[in-house]
Amino acid sequence: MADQDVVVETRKLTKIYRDFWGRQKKVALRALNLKVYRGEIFGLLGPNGSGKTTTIKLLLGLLFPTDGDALVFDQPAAEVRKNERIGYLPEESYLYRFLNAEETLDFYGRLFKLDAATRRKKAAELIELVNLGADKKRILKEYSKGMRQRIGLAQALINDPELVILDEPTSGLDPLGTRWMKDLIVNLRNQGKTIIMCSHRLEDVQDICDRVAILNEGELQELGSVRSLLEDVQRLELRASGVQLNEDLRKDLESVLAKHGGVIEFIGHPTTTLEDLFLRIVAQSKAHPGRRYLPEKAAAKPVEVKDSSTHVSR
Amino acid sequence: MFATFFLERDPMSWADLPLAVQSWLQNAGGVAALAVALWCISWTVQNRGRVNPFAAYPAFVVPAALAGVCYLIVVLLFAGKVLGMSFVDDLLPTTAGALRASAGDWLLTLGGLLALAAVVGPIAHAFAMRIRWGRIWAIARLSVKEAVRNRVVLLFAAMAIVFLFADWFVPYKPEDQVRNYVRVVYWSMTPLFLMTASLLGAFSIPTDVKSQSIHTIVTKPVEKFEIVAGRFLGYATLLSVGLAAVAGLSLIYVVRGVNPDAARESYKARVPIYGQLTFSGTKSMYEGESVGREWGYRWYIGGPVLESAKMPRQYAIWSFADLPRDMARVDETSSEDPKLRSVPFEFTFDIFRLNKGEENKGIYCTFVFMDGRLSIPDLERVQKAAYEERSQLQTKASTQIADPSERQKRLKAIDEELVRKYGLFEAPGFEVTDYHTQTLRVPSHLFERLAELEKERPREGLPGEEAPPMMRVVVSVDHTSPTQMLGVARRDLYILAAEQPFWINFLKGILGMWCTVLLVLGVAIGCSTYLSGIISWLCTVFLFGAGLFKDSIRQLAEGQSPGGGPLESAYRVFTRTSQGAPLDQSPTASLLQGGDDVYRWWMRRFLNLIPDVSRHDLHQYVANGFDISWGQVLLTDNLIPLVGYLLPWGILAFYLMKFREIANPR
Ligand SMILES: Nc1ncnc2c1ncn2[C@@H]1O[C@H](COP(=O)(O)OP(=O)(O)OP(=O)(O)O)[C@@H](O)[C@H]1O
Ligand SMILES: [Mg+2]
Repeated sequence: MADQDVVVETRKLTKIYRDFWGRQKKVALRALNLKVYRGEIFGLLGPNGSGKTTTIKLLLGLLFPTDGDALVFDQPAAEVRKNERIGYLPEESYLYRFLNAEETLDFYGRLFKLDAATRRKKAAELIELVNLGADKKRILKEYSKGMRQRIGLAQALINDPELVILDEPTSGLDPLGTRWMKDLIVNLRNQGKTIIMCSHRLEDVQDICDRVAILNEGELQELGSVRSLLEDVQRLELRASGVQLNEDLRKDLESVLAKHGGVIEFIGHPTTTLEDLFLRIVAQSKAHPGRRYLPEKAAAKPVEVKDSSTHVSR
Repeated sequence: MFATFFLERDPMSWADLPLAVQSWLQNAGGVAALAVALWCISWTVQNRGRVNPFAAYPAFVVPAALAGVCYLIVVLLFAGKVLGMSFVDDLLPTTAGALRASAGDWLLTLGGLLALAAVVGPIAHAFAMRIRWGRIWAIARLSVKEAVRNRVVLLFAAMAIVFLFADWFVPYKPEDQVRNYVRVVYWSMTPLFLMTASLLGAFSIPTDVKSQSIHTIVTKPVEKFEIVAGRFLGYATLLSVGLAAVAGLSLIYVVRGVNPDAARESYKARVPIYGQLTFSGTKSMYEGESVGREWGYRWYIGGPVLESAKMPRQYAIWSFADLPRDMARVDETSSEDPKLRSVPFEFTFDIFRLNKGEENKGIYCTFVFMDGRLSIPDLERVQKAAYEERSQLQTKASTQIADPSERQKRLKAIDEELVRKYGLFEAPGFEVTDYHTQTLRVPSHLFERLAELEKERPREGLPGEEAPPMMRVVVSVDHTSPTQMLGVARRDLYILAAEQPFWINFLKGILGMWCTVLLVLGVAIGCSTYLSGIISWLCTVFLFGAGLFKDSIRQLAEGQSPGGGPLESAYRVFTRTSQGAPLDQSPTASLLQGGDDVYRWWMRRFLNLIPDVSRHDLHQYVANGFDISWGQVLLTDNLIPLVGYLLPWGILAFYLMKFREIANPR
């Protein structure tokens, strides 16, 4: 991806939080150099307090850098006009709790100077997209955490942005919602948008991100494509179907591997993830309401979640 | 309380405006210049090597540099004075209250103007290029919705309680009915609306910052000032609608069942024409006798005490420079058949008794309405001549004409003739009662005569003096009331040029309250662009409270006390010099006096921060039935000062918001 468009660039970006008297409280970010290219999903990873949110806020101009530069679309982060092309979902959806979903989207639409007809159309589409059709007349105060996250996302997409910045998009979502969110993010990428997201849920990042930066204590620890970071060239994995494990098979495999100088570390039946199990239970109970979950005998098929065309495949 | 209308100071007029604008430019511009200087210094210190964001605006750099030059010259002038160059004395800025015209004053004004231009330039640029009303309006709508959904409007309903129960607590004399109703309405509406405005304004932006809902707004293509403007516009709209609704209800409350006494006193809007008050026969032209009462609002004149003492008679004289054409109108209350055309004069005087008793009796006075060209010595002579001629003609008429109604006619004709001949109309022995609005009607032929005289020969003063007024009203106490004194003030007597309906005036009064509400809202929002909600609110309350006592604070600050400023006073205490005594000319003393000058200068700057809230309180006009004029009172004394006060707050809010780190509240 080296010679693609750079959408976001940081140069020695540094943020030091100071108190009222200018005394240093916390170095939240230290000389961060990053480039994010058009059309990728870029993940910021790191433990709590490592500076992920700080980075995002610097990119949005919500914070001013202590040193260094943050450039978005080649403009300084403090430039307001770049926001025309950006969508932002905050860590928690801090929206106006006295508005309902429709009014919320209408309000944010006005800030982009969309005309009334476009606003109405966009709002309807987005409410459909985030599955809030049944609750669109309720005020946000009554929404659950997950619903707020969804309306927050809808709000971030109102201007059809080129760059979507998501701060912990899956926090507060159930596994179903998490999967839905991940599918949606991939879908956005497939539409050619650039996405920057941060999370400390590693499996989310692993599932969907093209490249990640790992931060700790405000310092960049690792940067690269997920595949290259995770690839373990010392080991080999093999999956097979149609056979059961038995002594003969094991012996045969051992001999083949010995010929190539390797040894078996583990051999056995794979277990599925809890996530898969959960999704399967929910899907089945939707298909057969009132029936208890029956484990399938056949080998696990990929689970049908709502939008199968964008199903995560990695 | 006093049941009459009085104002502590005249409303600002067009003539006062240039001076006001000049001092506004010097003050606001001075603050702007200081801010620009500090900004440039701190930028240079903190961000070596980076480009100042303002350097891109020639509209900023050029005026800022020129302003710097102006202030530099002023500094050099002062330096010249310190170095003992005497020629700079005439050039130094003055501190007098008159329209200042030394070179230093012009430099300060120009420097202020340029500094303001420098800070306003980027704002104007933002407004032209990026700020959009659509977004401001969206935020305004949001503010209204928020307030409505949070049931703020229920507060306005609280007024209903006042209307329901106020009558139980407000006793009044029949004639004070309207007056008291108006006061009840104002004194309940004002706190209600000011409280709402200050709370809404002070907490809106800080709450958004705290709840972080502002993050989703500033990450849209929204200029931060649009949030400030939107909040102001939204709440201003909400409060205006609320104010209009409550004012409508209040009006109904006030006007239902007005009793005739009250109607005569104040259920109307008098359009007065005021004259200038001077005295004759007293200590000085501008001072009557003092009776050691009240707070110097009124001066007193007495009747002739002993004729033999040859004391000059005491007169209170109101001079009317120019009179509008054709003020005369038919007197509807007159009982005479062909109704007379006349000009009504109204007055409300205070009576001071030198001896007790006769509490309810009035005091007898003579009112003379005359050509302004006549002086007081003329008056006594002309009065005498007219008196003699009248009695001659009257005797003649009563002996020659038998028919009573014919004779009556003739007597009237004589009066008219004499008024025309001498340019003088006299109302002798008129009983003035204490603190009651009374009317004297002056026949229209006096004014016809004055208009003729105006054409015949132009009024010209002696060389070096002002031209005499067109008309004078001279009031004196008759010798039948020797032990009484009449208290008069400039606004106690006026020509009643017209009468307007009460309700319009009531609503105009509400416009004054509207100005106060906007002022408080603006200050609260301005503070809240930097401070937290509660601190903003406290600041607003503090500024408003200080505004209520601005005049007293000014007196304190400017140190009109005989002991001088704080340093000088301390020095006097220390050296045991008494307050009145002149200070020795030691270097210490003059240093301290210089220090006091600096202190006073700063205090005056500081005073400009305090809003002049009392000027927007127009309820005295309404309660006493005086018209609030659109031009002088509403425009020049309310709207223009309001804009002048809020403008710097707006500029400040723009920059505070622009350079605020939204996600890092302190
Ligand atoms: N306004 C602030 N004032 C002082 N310190 C702050 C402020 N905001 C954040 N910090 C500090 O900066 C560091 C980085 O915070 P940041 O919010 O960027 O972490 P994060 O990586 O987003 O963590 P999390 O996963 O918990 O959201 C933390 O140590 C935090 O305490
Ligand atoms: Mg975070």
